[in-house]
Amino acid sequence: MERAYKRVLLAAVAIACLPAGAALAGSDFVDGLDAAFERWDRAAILALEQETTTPDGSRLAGALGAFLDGDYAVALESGKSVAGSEDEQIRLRADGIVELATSWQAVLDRLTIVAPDQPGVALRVPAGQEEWGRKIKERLGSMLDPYYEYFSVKTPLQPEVVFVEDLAQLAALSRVPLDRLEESGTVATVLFGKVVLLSPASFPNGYAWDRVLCHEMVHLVLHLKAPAALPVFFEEGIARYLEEWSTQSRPSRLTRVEQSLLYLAVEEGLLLSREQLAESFWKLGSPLKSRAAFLQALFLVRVLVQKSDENAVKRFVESVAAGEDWKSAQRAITGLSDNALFAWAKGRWRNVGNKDAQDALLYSLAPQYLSEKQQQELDESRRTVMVGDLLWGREHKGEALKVYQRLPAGIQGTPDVAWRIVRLLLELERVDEAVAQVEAWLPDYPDDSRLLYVAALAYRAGGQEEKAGELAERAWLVNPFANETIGLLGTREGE
Amino acid sequence: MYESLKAADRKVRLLRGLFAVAVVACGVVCVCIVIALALDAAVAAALLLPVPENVLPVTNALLSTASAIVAIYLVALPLYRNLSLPRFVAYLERTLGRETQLLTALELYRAGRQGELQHFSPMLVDEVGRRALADLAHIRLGRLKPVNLLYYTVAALLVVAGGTLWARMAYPDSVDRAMTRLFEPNAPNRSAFAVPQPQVQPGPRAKARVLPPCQQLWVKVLPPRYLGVRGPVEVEWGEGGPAAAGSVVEVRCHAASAGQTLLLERHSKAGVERVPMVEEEGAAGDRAVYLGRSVLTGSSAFFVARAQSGEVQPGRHDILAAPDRKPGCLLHQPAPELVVKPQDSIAVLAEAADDYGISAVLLHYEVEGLDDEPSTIELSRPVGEKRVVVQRDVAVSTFGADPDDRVSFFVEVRDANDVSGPGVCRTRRSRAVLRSPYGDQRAVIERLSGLRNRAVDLLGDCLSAPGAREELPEPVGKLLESVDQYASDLASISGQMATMSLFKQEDARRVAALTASVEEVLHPEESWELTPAKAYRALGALTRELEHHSVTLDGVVEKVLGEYLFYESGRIQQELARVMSLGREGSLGPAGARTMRRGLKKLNRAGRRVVRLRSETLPRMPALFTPYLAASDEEGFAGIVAVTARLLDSGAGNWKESLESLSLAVEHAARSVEGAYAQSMNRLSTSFRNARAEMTSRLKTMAGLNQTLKKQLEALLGDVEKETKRYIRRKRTIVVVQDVARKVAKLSRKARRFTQSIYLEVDRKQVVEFKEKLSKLGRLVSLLKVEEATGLARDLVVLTQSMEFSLKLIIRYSKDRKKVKKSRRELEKVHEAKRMAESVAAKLGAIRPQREKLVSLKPERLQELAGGLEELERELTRMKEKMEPLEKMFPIFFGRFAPVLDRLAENVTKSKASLASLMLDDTYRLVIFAEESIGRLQDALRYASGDAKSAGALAAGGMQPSLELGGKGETVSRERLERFLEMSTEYWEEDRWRELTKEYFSLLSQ
Repeated sequence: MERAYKRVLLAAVAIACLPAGAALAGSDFVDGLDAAFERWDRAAILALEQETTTPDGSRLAGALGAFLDGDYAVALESGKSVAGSEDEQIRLRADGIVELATSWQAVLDRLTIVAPDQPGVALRVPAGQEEWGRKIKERLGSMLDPYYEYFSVKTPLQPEVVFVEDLAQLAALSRVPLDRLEESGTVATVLFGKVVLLSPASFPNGYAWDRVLCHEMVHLVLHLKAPAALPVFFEEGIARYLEEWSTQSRPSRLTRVEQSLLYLAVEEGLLLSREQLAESFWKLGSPLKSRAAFLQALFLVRVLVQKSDENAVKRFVESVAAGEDWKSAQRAITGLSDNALFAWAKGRWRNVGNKDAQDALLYSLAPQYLSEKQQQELDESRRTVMVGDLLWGREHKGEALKVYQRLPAGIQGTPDVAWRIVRLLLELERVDEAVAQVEAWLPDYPDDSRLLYVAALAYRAGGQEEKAGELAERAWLVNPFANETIGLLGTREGE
Repeated sequence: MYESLKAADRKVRLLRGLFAVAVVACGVVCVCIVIALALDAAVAAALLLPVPENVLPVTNALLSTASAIVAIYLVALPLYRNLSLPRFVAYLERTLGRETQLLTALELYRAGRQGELQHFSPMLVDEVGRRALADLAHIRLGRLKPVNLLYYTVAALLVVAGGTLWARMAYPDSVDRAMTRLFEPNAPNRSAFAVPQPQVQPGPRAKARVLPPCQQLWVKVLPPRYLGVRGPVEVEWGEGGPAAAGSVVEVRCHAASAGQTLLLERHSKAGVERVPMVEEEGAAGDRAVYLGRSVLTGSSAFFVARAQSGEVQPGRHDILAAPDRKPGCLLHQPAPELVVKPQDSIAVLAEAADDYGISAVLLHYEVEGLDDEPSTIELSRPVGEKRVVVQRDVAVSTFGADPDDRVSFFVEVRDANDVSGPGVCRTRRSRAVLRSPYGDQRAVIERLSGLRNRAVDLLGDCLSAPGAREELPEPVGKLLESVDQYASDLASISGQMATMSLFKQEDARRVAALTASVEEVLHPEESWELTPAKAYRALGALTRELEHHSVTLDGVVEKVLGEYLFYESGRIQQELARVMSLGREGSLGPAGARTMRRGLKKLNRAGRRVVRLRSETLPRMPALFTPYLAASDEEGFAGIVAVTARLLDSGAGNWKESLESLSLAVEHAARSVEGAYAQSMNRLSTSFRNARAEMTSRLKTMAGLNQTLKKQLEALLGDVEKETKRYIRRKRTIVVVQDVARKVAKLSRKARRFTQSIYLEVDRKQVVEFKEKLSKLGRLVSLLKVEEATGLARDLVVLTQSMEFSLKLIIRYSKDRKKVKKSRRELEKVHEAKRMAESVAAKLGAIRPQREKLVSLKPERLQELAGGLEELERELTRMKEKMEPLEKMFPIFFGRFAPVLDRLAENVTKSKASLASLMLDDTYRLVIFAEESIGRLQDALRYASGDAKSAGALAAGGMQPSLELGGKGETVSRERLERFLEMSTEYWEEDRWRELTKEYFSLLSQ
C-alpha cells in the first residue's frame, strides 16, 4: 500500500509536469530531486541543494528537505519563495510542496506529540489521548524493531507514528479521496517515513491497530531496503505475511473466516487478476475485495516459502534490494515463472478456501452475498436479537439468553451476538458454558474487542487468571478507550 | 266494624294536616326573622360603611340564600320526609317513643274500603282500631316538633321585630339616613366617613376676623388635579375643613402695613414646616397682603400664622386630611383555573372603582417557567372615571406561551393620585393552561412506551412460566390475567390514537391489530374456561404474540416519537430563527434582552422536554462498552439544552458569536431527528420489504404452478378437441342430456297409460318396476349420472321386452276377446315405450363411451392436473398462514390480500371439482381467473417494491392499493342459467326442469 500512496504523492508533486512534455523532462536536477524525494532520501536532496547553482533550485531542494524533516513552516516558506520561479518545472513542484506542506501542517498541528523528551519512537496522538499514547509508546519500539532486524537494515530510520482522529485527516495527509478510503476500508498508510493510522477511538469497538502498525512498518522497512523495486502484490503480501512477526514471532495465519472468504472469493469471482493485483489496493471498491486481495498477495508470498524455506522472503527482498529484478529473484527461489507462480498460488487458495465459517463471514462481513432466504434469516435474526435486547433491558436475563440461543449457529458466533450470549451466561453464573462458547468463537475473531473482553471475563470467572489477563490486555490494546477494558486491565495491574 | 279504624284514620290525617301547617308556619316565621335581621344588618352597614353601594345587593343575596335554606331545610325536607302516611305514622311512633297499632289500623282501613277484609274477624279488626285510637290519645299537639319549634320562632320574631321598631323610634334620623344611603348609595355623602368633597362653589365671604398684625386672614384651598375638581375653595381662617393630599393651602394675610415679616407654620405629625409669607404686589395704600403657601401631605395638619417677632396670630386653621382610598377591583371573568387552546382568546371582565378616579386598568401576565417578572397589557385607560367595567378578549397568542404552558394573570387597577403615588388594587390570579393536541400526543407516546415495556415483561414471564402440568399453577393464571389487562390497555390506547389526528391511522390500526391478536388467543370463540390444557396452549401462542408485540410496539413508539420530534424540531427552529434575528441586531435594549432570554428559555425548555421524553421512552438496551473519552460536543437536543443554559448563565454577552453555536446545536438536533426517524421508518420498511419479498416469492411459485396447470389444460383441451370432436365438452353433453330428458318425459307420459290389470298376474310387478325405474332415470339424467342412467335405460328396455312377452301370451292364449283386444292396445303402447327406452339407452350409451374414452386416454394427464391443483392449494394455504401476522403488521396493505386469497382458495376448490367431473372448460376458466388474481397481487407487490421511500410511505399508511377482483365465473354461470331457464319451457310441465337446472348449476358451482 505504501507504494500506492507514494505514487499519489508523486502525482501531486509532479502532476503539473505533464503539460510541460518531454522538453522539460530532461532536467537532471529536477529528476534527481524527484527521485530523492520519492526515496525520502534527505541526504540526496541535501547534496542536490549544494550542487545546484540556481537559487530557485536550491530553495526548492531546501523546501523538500524541510518537508522530509517535518519542518513544515520552513518548507512552506521556501516553497512559496520559488512559487514565482521562471522555471516552470521548479514552479510546479514548488506549488505542489506548498500544498502538501499546508495539509500536513494543518493536520499535525492538531495532534499532540507524546513525551517528546523521552527516547523511542516519535508518536503523535489526537488531543485527549496523550495518556494512552504514553502507555503505548513504550511498546512501539518492541513492535517495530524486529523488522529492522529481520531485514538486516543497517541504518534504521526512527519512524514517527502518527495516530489521526478520523478518515478526513488521513485523506488530507495521503491526498487520497475520502470516499475511496471509506470504500476500500483503508485505515493506515506510510508516507515520508511516517506511519499514519487511525486512532482506535475512531471506532466504537476499536480495531487491531497494532497489527496494522506492524503491517505498515513492514512497508516502511521495504521502502528503505528496496524502494520502488517490488510490485504492489509482493509488498502487500510480505507485509501481510509478517504483520504478526514482531508480536507472535511467526508468520500470520488464516482464520476460519478468512478461509471462507477465499472460498467465497473463488465462488463469486472476487479474486483479482495479476494486473489488478499490481494496482494499489485502495482503488478497490469494497473492503471485502481488499481483504481478498490481501489474502491473494499473502498466498503469493507463501509460495516463496513453500517452494524454498522460511528465509525465502528475506532472501527475495535482499536480492531485489541488491538490484535484481523481482521476477528473476522469485524464479531463483521458487523455480517458477511468473505465470506459474500465479497459477500455483491460485491452486493454493482454491485448496485452502472452505465453507467452515461461511455463515459467520456472510452475516458479519459480506451480507451482500447472502441469498434471499439467508437475507430473510438475517433480518429475522436482527429482530430476534432485538427481542433479546428488550428482554435483557428489562432484566429478564434468562429469557433473553433463550431468545439469543434460538438464532442460527452461524449468527450466534458473530461478535455482535456472541458477546451477548457469553455475557449473559456469565451473569447467570453458567461459567463453564461461557468458556466453552468463547473457545469456539474467539479463534474466528481474534481481534474483536467485544469477544476478547467477554472472553477475559469468562476465563477469569473460570479461574484461568493468566489467560484472562492476556485477553484483557489484548482487549485493551484493541479498544483502549472503553471504561470496561481499562477497568479490566486496571484490576489486573492492581492484582 | 270499621268505625274505630275510620276514627283512627281521620285523627291521623288531622294530625298530619296540623303537622304540615306547623311546618309551613315555622318556615314563614323563620323567613320573617331572617328578613328582620338582614334589614337591621343592612341599616347598620349603610350607616357605618363609607361606600354603602354594595350593601343592598349583598343583603339581597344573603336574604335569598337564607330564605332558600330555610325553605329547603325547615319546610321542604320535613314535609318530604314525613308527609306520606306511613312515614307520618313512623314519625308519630318516634314522637311517642314506642311501636303502635296505627299503621296496622290504617292499612286495615284501606283494605276494608277495598273490600278485602271479608275473611277477617270483625272483633280483631275492631280491637286494632281501638288500640290505634288509644295510641292516638297519647299524642299531644305540643309534642310535635314543628309545633314546638313554632312557639320558639314566634317568640324570636317578636324579639327581633321589637328591637327593630325600638331602633326606628329611638333613632329616627339615623335610620332615615341609613335607609337613604341604603337605597340611594350615590346620593351626596353626608357621613363623617364619606369622601370629603371640597366645595366647588366658594360660599359667601364670611366676615373676616381682625387679627394683629393681620387684619384679615383668608384661607384658599386649591385641590390637586387628580381629584378632578375645578376651582379653589375659600374658607374663613379657623373654620377648618377637609383637604386631600396634594392640595395647596394659600393663606392670605391682609395687614395694615407693609414691610412685615410673617411666617405660616404648618403643624402635622411630620413636624412643623415654616413657610415665609410673601407680600403680594398691588395692594392699595399702606395696606399689604401677605401670602403663604403650603402643599398638604397625606396627614392632617393645622396652620398658625406667626409674626417674626414671635407674636402669634390668634386661632388656627385645622385641615383634616381627606384620605385617598385605594381603588377597588374585581375580576369577574375568567375563572380562576381554565384550559385554553393556543388559538383561543380569553374573555377578561373586570370591574374597578375609586373614590377620585381611575387612571389605568392593566392585565399582568406571567408564563410560568419562562418569565421572571410579569408582562403588562393595558386593558383600559379611563380618565378620571370613578367606576369602570372593562371587557376585553385577550388572544392567548399574546402571552407568547408554548403549548402546555401555564400562564397566570391578574388585573391591576391604578387610581390617578400622582401626589402620593397611585393607589393600586390587584385582583385574584387566574391560571390558564395552554392545552394542545401535542401534549396529548406526548402522553400517548409515553403510554405506548410503557405498554412496550409491559409487553416485554409479559414476554419474559411467559418464557419463564413453568412447563405444562396437570394443574394450573397460580402464576400462570395470574400471568394470563395480566395479559388480559395489558390487552385492554392496548385497546384503550389504540382507541385514543384513532381519535387523534396527530397519529396516522396506520399506526392506530397497527396497535389495534395487536389487541385483536391477543384477544383471539385469550378469548377464542369457544366459551373460555381456564383449564390447564387451554391455559398452556394459550401461553404458547401468547409467547409468540408478545414477541411480535414487543418489536412492533417498539417500532411504533420510535415512529410516533420521530413524528413528535419533527414537530418539536420545527418549533425549535422557528424559535431559533427569531432568536437569531434578534441576535443579529447586536447590542440589545432591555426589552430585546428580555425577549432574547425568553427565546433562549423556550429553546432550553423544549430541549429538556425532548431529552426527558426520549430518555423515558427509549428502551434500555444492553451495551458492552462505555466510551472513556468524553464527547467533545453535546449531541442532539441535549446540545441545545447545554448551549442555551450556557447562554442564559452568561447573560447578555456577545450574542452573535454565542448564537452560532446554538444554531449548530439546533441543526445537529434536527439532523438527529431525521436520522432517528429514518431509522425507525427503515425498521418498518425492512419488515415490509422482507414480507414483500416472501410474498412475491410465494406468488411467483403459485403463478408458476398455475401457469403449468394452464398449459396442461390447454394441451389437454386441444387433445380432447381433436379426439372427441368437442363431443365431451359440457355444452354438447347438455344438449344430449336435454334430448334424453325430453324422451324420458315422453316415455313417462306413455308409461302412465300402462294398465297393470291387463298383464298376467306374475308380470304385473314388472309394470310397477318399469314406472319406478323410469322415475329414477329422470332424476339420474337431471343429475348427469350418465353411467347409472344408461344401465337403467337398458333395464327399461329389458322390462318392456318382458312386458311384451306377457301381453303376447295373453293375446295368443286368452279366450276372453275383450281382454285380448285390450292387450293388443297395451302391446302397442309397450312397443312404443320400448323404442323410446332403446333410444334413450342408445343416446346415454353414446355419452358414456366418450367419457370412458377420455378417462382411458388421459388418466395420467388428469392425475397430473389434479396433483398440480393440490400443490397450488397447499401453497395457497401456506401463503394464507404467512399472511396472518403480516395483516397485523401492515393492516392496510396486506389486509387487502386476505379476501383475494380466500377467493383464490375457493377457485382452486371449484377447479378440483370441475376437473373431477371432467368439466375441462370450467377448470380452464377458473385457472385463467386464478392467473389474473395472482397477477394482480404480484402487481400490487411490485408497485410497493424496492425503494425505502415507498416502503416508508406504506409503513406510514400512505398507500392503499385497491384490488378489484370481480366474479367473472359467476356472471357467466348466471347468463347460462338464464338461457337454460328460458329453454325449460319446452320441457316438462310445472317447474320441474327449472328446479333441475338450478340444482345442476349449484352442483357445478361447488
